[in-house]
Amino acid sequence: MAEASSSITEKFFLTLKSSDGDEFVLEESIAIQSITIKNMVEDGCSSSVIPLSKVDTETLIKVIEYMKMHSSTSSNEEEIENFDKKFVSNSINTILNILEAANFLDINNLLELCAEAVANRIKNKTPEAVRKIFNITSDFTPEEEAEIRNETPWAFEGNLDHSLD
Amino acid sequence: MASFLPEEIIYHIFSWLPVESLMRFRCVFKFCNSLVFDPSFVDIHQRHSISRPHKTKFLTSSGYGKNLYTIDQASFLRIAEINETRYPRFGYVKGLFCLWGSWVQPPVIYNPITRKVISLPSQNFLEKRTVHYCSLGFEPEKKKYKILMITHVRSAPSRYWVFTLGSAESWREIKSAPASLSLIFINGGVCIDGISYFFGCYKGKACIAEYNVRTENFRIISLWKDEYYIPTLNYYNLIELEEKLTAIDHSRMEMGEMDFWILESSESSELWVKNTIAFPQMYLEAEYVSCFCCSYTPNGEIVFIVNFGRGPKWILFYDWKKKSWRDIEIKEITEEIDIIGVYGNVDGLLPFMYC
Repeated sequence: MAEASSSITEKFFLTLKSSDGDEFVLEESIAIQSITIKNMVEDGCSSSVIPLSKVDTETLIKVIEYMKMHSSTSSNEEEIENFDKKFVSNSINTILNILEAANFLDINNLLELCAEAVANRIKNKTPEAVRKIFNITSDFTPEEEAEIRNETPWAFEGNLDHSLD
Repeated sequence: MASFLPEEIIYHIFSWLPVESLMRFRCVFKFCNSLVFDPSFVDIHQRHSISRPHKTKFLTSSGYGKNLYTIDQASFLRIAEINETRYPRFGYVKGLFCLWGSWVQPPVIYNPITRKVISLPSQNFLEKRTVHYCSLGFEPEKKKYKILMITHVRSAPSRYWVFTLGSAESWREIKSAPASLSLIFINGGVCIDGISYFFGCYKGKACIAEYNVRTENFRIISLWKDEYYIPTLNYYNLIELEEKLTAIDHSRMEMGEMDFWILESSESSELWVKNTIAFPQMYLEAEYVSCFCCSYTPNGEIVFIVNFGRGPKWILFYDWKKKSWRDIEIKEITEEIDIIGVYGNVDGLLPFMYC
């Protein structure tokens, strides 16, 4: 790669464009935490603006915040840990949007962080609440659903959480 | 959110959920139900569960397999009472118990999470005065549970039988064990990474028998010393310590110390490395009724149980690398029973495919 042999002080910048049309300038070394962007850079598609049609502005701001914190040069371990903790305290809907962005941009750490966070938030919820949060309609007949529920009655014991966040 | 969540994202999220939640969310829609039966999902879920040792639950048994409890730090919850038939003996591997020792009923497999019990095929080969022992093993490559049964009629050599959980066949006799080997089951055995270990006696000398769950072959491992007085084995327990076979010797417990031996190499030559545990005075001052090593945690702690007769019961955890102790007092238990085992249960879906 040509970049690897360049001097350390020289910085490359990329422009990311959200689905809302907002542009963000970011150091290439930070942006390539996204494998999707890294592949684009390696294929030589990065000279102009990189359009991210699946990521809205609000989500992209959060993703960039995350990538800046996690880039190898700055921040120590404790800082990163505190940042992550605060990062996943956003609303479930916000985290789900980031999760989709992380999946599209192929940022594995961010994907795992958000997936685990959502799992922790929904683990005590009812199936009805999970359907609403994920915007899913059941494709079971009422009889099929009752049958599955009856197979594991122990999983429905205790105080389940009906809330949507 | 306007659109529905892609299944790919649901897959990632669900791979971090506890088993109980996964079972509850099977009815969310068909994709969620299919996940818990998908081997690659079961695999990734297991890896995520193992990476969270602090979330490991402990299963405790008391009253000889009659009652099972979960321990979650200080809280102590009864999960099951299995008293249809008394099974005086039991073993535990990877989320499943095998209960055995009844003369009238075949051994059963018990899943403490689903509370399901399944019977193994009947042991119609058991004649009168046949002593039998069972050992539940797990083979990680093919992810199979196998039960090894040893039957013994007075003077005749032991016979060995295998049953693979989930298979249509019945008990199948194997002839791979050396004729001069007799296994000693007083203190159970341990299954580590597809290999089960038992104490035994080979050509008049105490030994450890290694049984490969996949190949069904046996191998003899020498102890750290030549021991011809077999009852000495009563002082020993086998446990797993960070994926290594470890023998605990509690013959010096009266002095407040225990030795444990870690098997460092198992190919052709055996190297046992000795360590010593000094019990803190606070654990020794009380007049203990029984204190024996029985278990270990996935974090590499050795677990001891202290039963004070009708009084309180304690579970002690010893971190052998830091040489530090922690303990849990078991308060909620009201029955007059001794705790006889603690089993670290890493949350995972695998047992559900069988029971």
